[in-house]
Amino acid sequence: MNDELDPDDPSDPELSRALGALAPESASQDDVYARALPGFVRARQRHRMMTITASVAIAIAAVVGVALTSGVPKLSGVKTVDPAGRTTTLPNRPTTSDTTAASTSTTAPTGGPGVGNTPGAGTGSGVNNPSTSSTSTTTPVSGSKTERVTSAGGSIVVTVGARNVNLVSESPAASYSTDVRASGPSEVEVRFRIGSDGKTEHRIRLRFDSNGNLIKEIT
Amino acid sequence: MQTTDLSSVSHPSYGVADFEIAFRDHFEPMVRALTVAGGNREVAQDCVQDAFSRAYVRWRRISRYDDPVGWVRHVAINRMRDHYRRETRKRRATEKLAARPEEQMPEPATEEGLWALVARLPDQQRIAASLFYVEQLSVRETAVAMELSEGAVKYHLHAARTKLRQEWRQVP
Repeated sequence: MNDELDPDDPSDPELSRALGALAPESASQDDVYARALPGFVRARQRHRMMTITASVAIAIAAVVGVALTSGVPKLSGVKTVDPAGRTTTLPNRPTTSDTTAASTSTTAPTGGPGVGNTPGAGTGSGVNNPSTSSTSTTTPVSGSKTERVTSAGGSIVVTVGARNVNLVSESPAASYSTDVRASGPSEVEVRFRIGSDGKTEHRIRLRFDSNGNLIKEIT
Repeated sequence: MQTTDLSSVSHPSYGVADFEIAFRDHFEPMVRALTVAGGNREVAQDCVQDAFSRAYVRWRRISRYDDPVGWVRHVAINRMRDHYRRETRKRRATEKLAARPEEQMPEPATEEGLWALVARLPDQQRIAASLFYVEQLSVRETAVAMELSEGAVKYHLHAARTKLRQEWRQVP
């Protein structure tokens, strides 16, 4: 009998009926879809949630990856040592014009003068002689940057932008006191005084001319 | 391994909104075929429903396939294979752990008649016979569903048919 079976023509109605009878058609087919549909909808919602979650995770990973590969900017700043021996680190804040929020960390060397803008008890450094010289320079301004300007009576740190200049900090030399006349944004003027009568003074003044050039006056 | 190219098979096309039509046309025939292939209607129904569920989630894309229902059938067959593979592993683990061999789960082959003959067929022959004789697929469609060549499907069908024909009449 087996020899009669054609390998190229497997059709066999009798066998088909017999095997089909093993799994008769279900009587209630109409409501199968209605019963299955809520499950399908839940599956689609789960799939969408997973897709969204995966997308967000990939985006976060990409951002973190880019940040790590490009390098996190270090907290760099302007490190200054004033004549009194104090070390001051000022963060670079090139785009801000806010002078009140500048954070500074100051360390005083052992045995040095006290911390602050008032004159300490440190030894002077020959800056008590009043200076009669006066300089004035003009600098074209492009972009925003932090700059330190020094005079015999002390130094100041300012941020200079396009037609604005703001005082970040001032550091008087030993025995000098500070008098901030203007802190920006159109002009910065700081005077450093010494002596009981306060007559000896050094002045730093920064302002813009009509062409937008920064004029530094140091007396 | 040579398999049948899906693009050479003509199928009714389904649009994005035709999921329900595809489901109503093919759910029951698929369940019947996998019931014969696996010996359990509940398992077959779960596998086919799961396959349709996956298709529903991606129907916008799957409906553009040449044979969307073929995709569903293929997923359902794989689900069923996975299920019985897990069951086999479980049974083997139970057998290893069992102190008394008489507590083994009953084999499907202990069932009577044509069921027992079908259950004794190798997997490929059983699935090919189920798709061809129960779901009434063509050799080409069966080949696509099983990811086999048409020649391989013909071989499996011939082998299954020969075995069943040999013993079927002898079954009381």
